[in-house]
Amino acid sequence: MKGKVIVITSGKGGVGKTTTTASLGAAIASLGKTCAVVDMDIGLRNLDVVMGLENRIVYNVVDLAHGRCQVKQAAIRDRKITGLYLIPASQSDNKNVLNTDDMSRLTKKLKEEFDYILIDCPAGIEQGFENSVTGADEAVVVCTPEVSAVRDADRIIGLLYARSITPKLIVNRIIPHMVVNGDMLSHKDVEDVLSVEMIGLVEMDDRVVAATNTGSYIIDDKTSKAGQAFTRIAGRILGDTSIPIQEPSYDQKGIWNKISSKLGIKK
Amino acid sequence: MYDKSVAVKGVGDGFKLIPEKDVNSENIIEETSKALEPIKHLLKGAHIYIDSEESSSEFVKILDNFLKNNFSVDSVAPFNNKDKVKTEHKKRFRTREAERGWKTSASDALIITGRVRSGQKIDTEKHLIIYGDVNPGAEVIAGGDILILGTLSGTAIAGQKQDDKSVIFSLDFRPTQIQINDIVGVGGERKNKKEPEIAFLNESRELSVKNYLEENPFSKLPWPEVR
Repeated sequence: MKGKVIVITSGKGGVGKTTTTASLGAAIASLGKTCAVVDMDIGLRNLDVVMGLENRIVYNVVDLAHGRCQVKQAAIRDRKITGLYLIPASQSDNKNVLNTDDMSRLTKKLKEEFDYILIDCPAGIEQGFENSVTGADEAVVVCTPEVSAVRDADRIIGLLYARSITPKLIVNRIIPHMVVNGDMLSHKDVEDVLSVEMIGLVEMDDRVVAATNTGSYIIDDKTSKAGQAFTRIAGRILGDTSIPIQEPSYDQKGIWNKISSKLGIKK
Repeated sequence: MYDKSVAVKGVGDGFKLIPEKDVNSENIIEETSKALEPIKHLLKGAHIYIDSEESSSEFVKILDNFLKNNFSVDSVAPFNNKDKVKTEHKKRFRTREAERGWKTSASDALIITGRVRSGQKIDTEKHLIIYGDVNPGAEVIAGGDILILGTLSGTAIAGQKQDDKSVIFSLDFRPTQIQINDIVGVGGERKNKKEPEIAFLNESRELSVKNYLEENPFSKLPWPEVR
């Protein structure tokens, strides 16, 4: 078996890398592929919490990279979704405990076991980023429509190109009514500055927070717009280019908006 | 052969007339025309210098009209010393430069295509031309001008070092910061309209940003020059 390694990165922290990794991993596994999600945020692990698997950790990614255990021992099988595995980070080490050689050996090993390997990259551009990017075949950059996130994503994209990886872009946490009012950057503004291939637009969704806290997956919530968006993105990652990118729309409420849209003044 | 009482010599862009001692204000016209007759086809538009120790200016007065009318020379002047010839030389050189200076002196520019991203830094001692955008957080530095055929959102530093004449130009000008030589300017407020703008140092060494099409600062130059 020859798997594909995809690093999920952003530069800036708190834009939703971990949530995106967990959701995409779950969605890819639901589509019938085996998928391992690897937490590379060594020392600050939280992907296990998001997935609700924190009480099952015996071995972690550092043990696996240093050859202290087998892939089968380190990979934790998900409770609900078959084909989804977590390789957790170590909480007691720091990012310098691994080097790029360890990582290329590790990704080689994982490629033999799984179809897709999603690497949850830590924030920043230091050793943790270097380690996560080593051995990656593809990269997904997560960005929120904020000037600071765009700036950091731009830097990360430059660094990825320097390593001959062409990144793809997910714009996360779009708040449609703020975009309509001009208080938030639109996904077009973000795309203009970053100019890389867009593979998904994810709306702000309160239920993502609820799902994260209970260790369930947002993709299982069929009414959640964010969950549906992640499912579509997973489809695109698996190579189905026919899935259209849905632009977030904002249904304006209120009597005046209804009247004016009837009259054709406002759309 | 004729009697050489007026000698003719070629200098710079014209001819030098050297009257002998026996030539005086009465026979100068006759003697000069005798000397110039064989080369009159060369005289059109030429400059004539009179080199006579005592009476140059006197001969000039007499010959000025005669030579201009009969031989269509450009000017008649006393020949003072070598300086005169030298300055005339300079003038000639300048005309040639105006006509085809770009063929002889090369302008140095670094030309780049693509997007300059945050954290990237482009540094050159030449002029810098970018076909593409400069993103926020990116830095472009040039010894001369910076021309961006796209959006400038990052930092642009021109005229390094000590070149007050450098300019920064962009089709969509919204920089974080600009600098020409040692004068720093911060980016303005966000604007909605895209317009080509140019930044330069004015006479009092203040940064000035103008709409390029309205200002068109280089249209005032008399002829094309190498920058």
